[in-house]
Amino acid sequence: MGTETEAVALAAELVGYGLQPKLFPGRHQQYRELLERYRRDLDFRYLADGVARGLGLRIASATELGLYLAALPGSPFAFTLASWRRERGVASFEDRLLHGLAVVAIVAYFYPQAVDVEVERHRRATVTQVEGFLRSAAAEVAKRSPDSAEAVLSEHEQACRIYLRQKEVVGTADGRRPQRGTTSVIARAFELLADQGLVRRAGEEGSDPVYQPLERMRLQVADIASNEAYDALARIRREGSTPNVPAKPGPL
Amino acid sequence: MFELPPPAEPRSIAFQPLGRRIQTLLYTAPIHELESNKLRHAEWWEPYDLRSLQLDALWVVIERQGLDSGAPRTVVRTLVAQRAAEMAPEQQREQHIEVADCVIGWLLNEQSSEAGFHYEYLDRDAEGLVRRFGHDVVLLHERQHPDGSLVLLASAGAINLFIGSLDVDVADAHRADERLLEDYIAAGRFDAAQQQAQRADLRSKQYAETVRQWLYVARQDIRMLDWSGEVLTAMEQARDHIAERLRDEAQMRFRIDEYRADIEDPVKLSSVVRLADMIDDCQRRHTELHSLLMSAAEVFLAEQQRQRLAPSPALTVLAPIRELLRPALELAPPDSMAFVDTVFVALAGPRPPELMDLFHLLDDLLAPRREEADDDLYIEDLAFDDADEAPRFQPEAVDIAQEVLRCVQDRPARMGVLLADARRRASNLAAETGELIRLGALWAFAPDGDATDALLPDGTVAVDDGMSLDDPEFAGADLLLGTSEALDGD
Repeated sequence: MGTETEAVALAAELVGYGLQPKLFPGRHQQYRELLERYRRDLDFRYLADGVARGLGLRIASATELGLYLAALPGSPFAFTLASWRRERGVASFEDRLLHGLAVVAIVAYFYPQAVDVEVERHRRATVTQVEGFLRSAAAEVAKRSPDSAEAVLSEHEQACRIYLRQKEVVGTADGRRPQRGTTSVIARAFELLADQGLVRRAGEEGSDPVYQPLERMRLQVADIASNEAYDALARIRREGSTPNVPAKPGPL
Repeated sequence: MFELPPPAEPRSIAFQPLGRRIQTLLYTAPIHELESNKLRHAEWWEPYDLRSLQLDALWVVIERQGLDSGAPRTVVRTLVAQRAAEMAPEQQREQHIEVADCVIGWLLNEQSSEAGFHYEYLDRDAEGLVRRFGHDVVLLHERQHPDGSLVLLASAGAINLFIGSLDVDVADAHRADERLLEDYIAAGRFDAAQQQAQRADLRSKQYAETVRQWLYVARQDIRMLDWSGEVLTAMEQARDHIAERLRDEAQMRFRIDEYRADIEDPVKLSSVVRLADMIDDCQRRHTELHSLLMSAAEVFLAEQQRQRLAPSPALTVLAPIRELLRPALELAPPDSMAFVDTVFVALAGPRPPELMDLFHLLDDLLAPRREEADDDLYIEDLAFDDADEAPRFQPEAVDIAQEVLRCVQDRPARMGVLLADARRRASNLAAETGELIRLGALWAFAPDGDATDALLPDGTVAVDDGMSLDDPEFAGADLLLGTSEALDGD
C-alpha cells in the first residue's frame, strides 16, 4: 500500500472512532495516537476532514477526550428525532415534538447561560428537576403571550401549550413505571443522551434517576452556537410563518 | 475647672491593601458556612462536624491527585461517610452517606450555577481608595478524564489552604521544607521528619496541579496564558528546582539508609522505614513532574500552532435558555419541530445506520414478531417455595423412619417388614413414615448424593433378590436392606 493510501486509511479509522461516542482515547492507544496526529499534523488533518465531509460529517472538535462529529444535512449518519422515535415504533408529531423539547430543556438546565457553556462543570440533575424546569419555562412563555381563542388548538398556537397539556405522570393500573406523561418523556431523553455519550447516569434519588453531563455535551452545545441553531432560527424567523413570536426576546 | 487636654490624634498608619490576605481568608468561608448552617438540613445533623468532614474530603482528593488523575467521587464519598460514622456512631449508614454527599456537593458548589463561591469585600486599590472587590473561591472541581470517567480535583487554592502555608512562593517553600527535613534526620527526630516529608509531598502535588492547570488552559485557549512571560519563567525555575530536589532527595535517601543500619529500637525503625518510603514517593513524583515540565514547552508550542490554524471561534456563545429553550417553546409547533430537530441532530451527533447482512436478515425475517415497548418491561420474580419453609415430612415421622431403618445395621431386613414395623410404630403418621421408608429403600438401592445421609445408617445398601412386595400401598420388588458386608455374605 502506498503512503497516501495508508494515510487515508488512518484518517478514515480516526473518523470511525469518532462515530463511537463511548470510546475514549484514554482507553484506546491507537485512537489516542491518531487524535494526537490530527491535532498536530496539518496534512493529516485535511485528510481526515475530507474523509468526514465525504461521509456527510463535520469534525466539530478534537480534544483529548475524543473526536466529536456533527452530521451534515442528508448524511446517512444523521440521527434525527424521527429516526429515534421510529426505532421505538412511535412516530406521531406530538411525540417527536415533546421529546425534542425535552432534549432542549436538558441542555438549558445544565447550561442556562452562555457563561455556563464556557467552563467545564458536571452539575447533576434529576428527571423530576428537569421536568419541573421545562414545565415552569413553558408556563412562563404561555403566560406572557396569551393566545387568542382561535389560536388555541390550531397550528398557530405555541409549542409550550402542547407541553402544558400533558400530565406529568400517567399512572399505570398495575403500579409499574409509568410509560406516558412528561416525566417519562424526560427520562427517555436522558437515556438517549446517555446512549450517545453526552450524559451519564450518576445514581438514583429514590426512584428519580440522577444524570451528569459529560464534556461531549458541553462541547457539542458550544459548537451548535456558531452553526446549526442560529441558522435554523434565522431561517424560521425570516420565512416568518409564525405571527405570535415576539420580535424582541424578553427575559425568561 | 480645668480644660481637658485635646484628644490625642490617632497616629496615622499607612494601611496596605489587604489583597491576597483577604482572598486567602475567604478560602475558608465556604467551609465555615456549611458548618454554621447544618441544622437547616435536620436536627440529626447536630453531631457531625462538617468543617472537619470538608477538610477530610479535601484531604482524600489531594491524596489521590497525581499528575493527571483525581479521586472518583464514590471513593471520596465512602471515606467521608466513614469519618461521619465515627462522629455519630448511633446514627444510620444512610444518614452518614447523606452527609458525605452534601459535603462533596457543597465543596463543588453544586447548589449554585456558578463554578465558585462568590464573595465581595472592601479593600484599598493602588491609589489607596476603598473599593469593592469580588473574589471567586473554588475548592473542588470535577473533570472528565481522557478515559471517560469523572474525577474530583482540588484547586491549587484548596491545596494551598490545606497545607496551611498560604501566600508563599511554591518553589521557595518547597526548598525550605526539605532543608528542615534534612535537619530533622540529622537530629534523629524521625517523627517530625516524617511530617515534614508529608508536607514536601503535598508541595509536589501542588506543583503538579499548577502545571496541570496551565496545560489545561493552554489546550482550551493559549491566549489566556502569558506564555512568554509568567509561564515560561516559572517553568524554567521549576525545572531547575526539581533537578535540585531530585539530587537532594537522593542524598537524603542515602543518609536515611546509613542511619537505618544502626537503629535497633523497632518503633524508631518503623518510622524510618515509613520516611524512606515517603521520600521514594516524592522522588517518583518529582521524576514525573520533571518529565511533564520537559514536555510542557512542546505542548505549548504545538497548541499555539494548532490554535492559530484553527478557525476563529464564534463571536457569540449561545445562551441555552434564551436562545434554545425559549424559541422552542414560543414557536408554532411545526416551526418548533424544525428547530428542535435541528438542535437534536447537532447535539445527539451522528449514529451509524444499522446495516444488515443477509445471514442475519434471514434470521430476523424468520423470528417471531416482537412487541415493541417504550420502557423496560419488568418480569416478576417467580416466588419459588423455600424448601425450609414448609417441610414435607414432620420431624416425628422422620425420627421414626430413622429408628426403623437403623435396625438393618444389625441384620438385613426386607422392605415389607420395615414398612409394617414403621406403620405400627407411627399410627397417626403412617402414610408419611411409610413414604420415608420407601424413599430410604430406594436411596439405598440407587444412592443419590447426600440425600441418603439423613435417613439411612452409613453403608446401607439394598438388593433386589426377585421377591415381590406384598403391601397395601406400594408394589414392586421387596428389596432387601442391610450393610454391604452382611448382604455380600448372604
